[in-house]
Amino acid sequence: MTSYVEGRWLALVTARSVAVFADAPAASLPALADAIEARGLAGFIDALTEATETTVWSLPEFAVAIAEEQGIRVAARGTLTLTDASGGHATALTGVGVTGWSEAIWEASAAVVIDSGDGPRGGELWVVEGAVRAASVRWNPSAPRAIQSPALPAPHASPEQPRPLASVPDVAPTPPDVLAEASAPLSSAATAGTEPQDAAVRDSEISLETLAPAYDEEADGQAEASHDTVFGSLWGSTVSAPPAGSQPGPGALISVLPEFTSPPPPPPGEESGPGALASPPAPPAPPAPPAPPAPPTAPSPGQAHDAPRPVAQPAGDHDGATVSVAALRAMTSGRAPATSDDASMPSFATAEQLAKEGRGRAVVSNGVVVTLDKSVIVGRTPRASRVTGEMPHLVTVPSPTQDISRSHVELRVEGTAVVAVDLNTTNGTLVKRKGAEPVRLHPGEPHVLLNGDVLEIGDGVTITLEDLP
Amino acid sequence: MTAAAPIVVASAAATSIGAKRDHNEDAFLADSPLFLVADGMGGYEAGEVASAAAIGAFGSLVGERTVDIQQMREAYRVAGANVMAVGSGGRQSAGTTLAGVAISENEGSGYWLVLNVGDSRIYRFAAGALEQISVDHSLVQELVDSGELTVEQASHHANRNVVTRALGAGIVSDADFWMLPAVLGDRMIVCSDGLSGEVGDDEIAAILAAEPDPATAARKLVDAAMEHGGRDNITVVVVDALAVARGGADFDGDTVPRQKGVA
Repeated sequence: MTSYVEGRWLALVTARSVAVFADAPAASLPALADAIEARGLAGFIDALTEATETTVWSLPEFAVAIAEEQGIRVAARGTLTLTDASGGHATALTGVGVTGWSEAIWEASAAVVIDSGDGPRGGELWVVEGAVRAASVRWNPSAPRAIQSPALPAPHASPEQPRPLASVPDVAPTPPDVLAEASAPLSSAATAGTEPQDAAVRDSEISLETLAPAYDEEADGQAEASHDTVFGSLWGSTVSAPPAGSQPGPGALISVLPEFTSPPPPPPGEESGPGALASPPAPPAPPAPPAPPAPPTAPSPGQAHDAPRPVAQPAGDHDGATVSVAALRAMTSGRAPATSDDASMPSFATAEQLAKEGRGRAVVSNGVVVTLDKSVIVGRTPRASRVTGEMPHLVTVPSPTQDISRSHVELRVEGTAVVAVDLNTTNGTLVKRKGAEPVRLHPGEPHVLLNGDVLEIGDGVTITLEDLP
Repeated sequence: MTAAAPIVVASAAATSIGAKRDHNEDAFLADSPLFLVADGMGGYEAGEVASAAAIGAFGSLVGERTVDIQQMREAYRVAGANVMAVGSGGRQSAGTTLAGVAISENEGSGYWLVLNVGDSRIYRFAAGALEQISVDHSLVQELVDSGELTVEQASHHANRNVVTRALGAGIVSDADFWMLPAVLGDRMIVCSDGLSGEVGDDEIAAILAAEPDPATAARKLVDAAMEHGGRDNITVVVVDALAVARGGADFDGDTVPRQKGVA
């Protein structure tokens, strides 16, 4: 349940989030609520940008807390402050002095208080879901709900399971079909001419990207979106590494600054390395470079089918068959997954874990050692096809009997996991895991690898995975 | 003296304004280690300025022993800036495709580093078979991918010249890249859609099989496009691998099944 003190700020409360902001048209609030539920912070930013008809760089002040798989994502722009009343985080989060907004992940047990600093205009009230005028809001997502209603699930429902919004139509965001939109006017224009192959048509080669807005590929990502997928690609966020020995999960401070607009480099000292933002609160940023009117960048349409879908599991799959990578690691290592008290909420390795530990490496039996900073293709004469992102490492292995295929197996880094894909080989790929029967990879299907796994690809060639997080 | 290139090539290029156009908006570069074709668009001379501006960004790499992916990306970035500069001079619609192949290296072996944005094409002709390497960034290709058109229908589609990615024309798109292990005897073909839009794969393959000399092959491919109507500018670059370095003692035959089935 969420309690609030009446004030002049808008507070939007949904099943898994609380957002406080200066203002937005009332008619836009249902869309804002939908966007948060569907796409978390990215959805909120997009919807607020649209609702207030501004750019990302001139958004009104806001503070938002969203329950996610890894914990509670908190973000603040401007003077609103976020504090943890449970005492888990001594330091408040504010957006003061930050060009974009400050962002962090708190434990799921945090009790979030968003305060405007305004004096109260009335007494303390509470709200389940909706939009109210408030000066401060207190939300404890891990606490059982005091109010029961037939429309709501039992109190033990975990925070990342979005409950249906009673007052808001449940409209799933659908990525606009760029092709469909663009092809209609093009077709009609072309068929308007009597001779479709005439010189006028041939002369007017045009770029579709000038006609069709890039669509947001993440729009259908919904709950599976995590900060290293959504924000890594959309916002160019930099994730700081915590001090050594800190717990994985909470404590990450992610600051989003206009570094993704690569042409003007950030001024010296701004947002430089992992150490710069290691301890909250964010240091006041130096004068920001002029805000470019940059909408959130989205992959170009052609990229969509190039990119393999991540194997991340959508939150809320509790049929028992789906396990997180962290849970898989825990099962095989005999220790509990590194997570909060809530055992139903397995967590992934966090970005700062990866920064600290690296992504591990593949040791090939011919002596080649490859850091898993990007994909690796191993084979007799490996090739990489139609790459738009990072060019994979290509590792050639000897195969005197031609047992191994030209491009035999690919190791891909997907989020925080490393997966192996047998590239439809003649003789297949075997995964050997300590204490388990060897597994033959299904051609073309990603298989999550764990530290110590050994791949056998033929002719005695093995690939051993070391130091995976 | 520099060490021998990991792929020693013989190359040739041929271009024609075609039968219907009054400008040749194609541009090309065929000088080791780079073999590129750009097909400009925009009209009113903007197209030829754009294609030349894009190709020009790669000139500094000519004479290098190899080109790696970082060098290629950097030159591609400069090419994009060059074309955008053309566009900002009042030719907003100026843009170009860019397709090409560079001599590259991986673990001591010769590799073809292939780049494509737009609907110009890269083919490999090897062991008598023609393989289209690049995938067109075109509306019809996307319709083919989604199953709405067959390849045959696409080749006659009214919108087959609408590109979905390009350099310029308001935006610089991501390029596709390939790293392909080179094999002795490989013949790489880079061409504008003035060839691929007129001449079918079978005829291209037949010409390449019949003409061992790259200059003759390039010339005959352009002639074939003219015979089919020459509705667009035609540019063809042919690159033959005469020697290829191999980093290891690898065999190049087909993979041998571990347990041979009874035929």
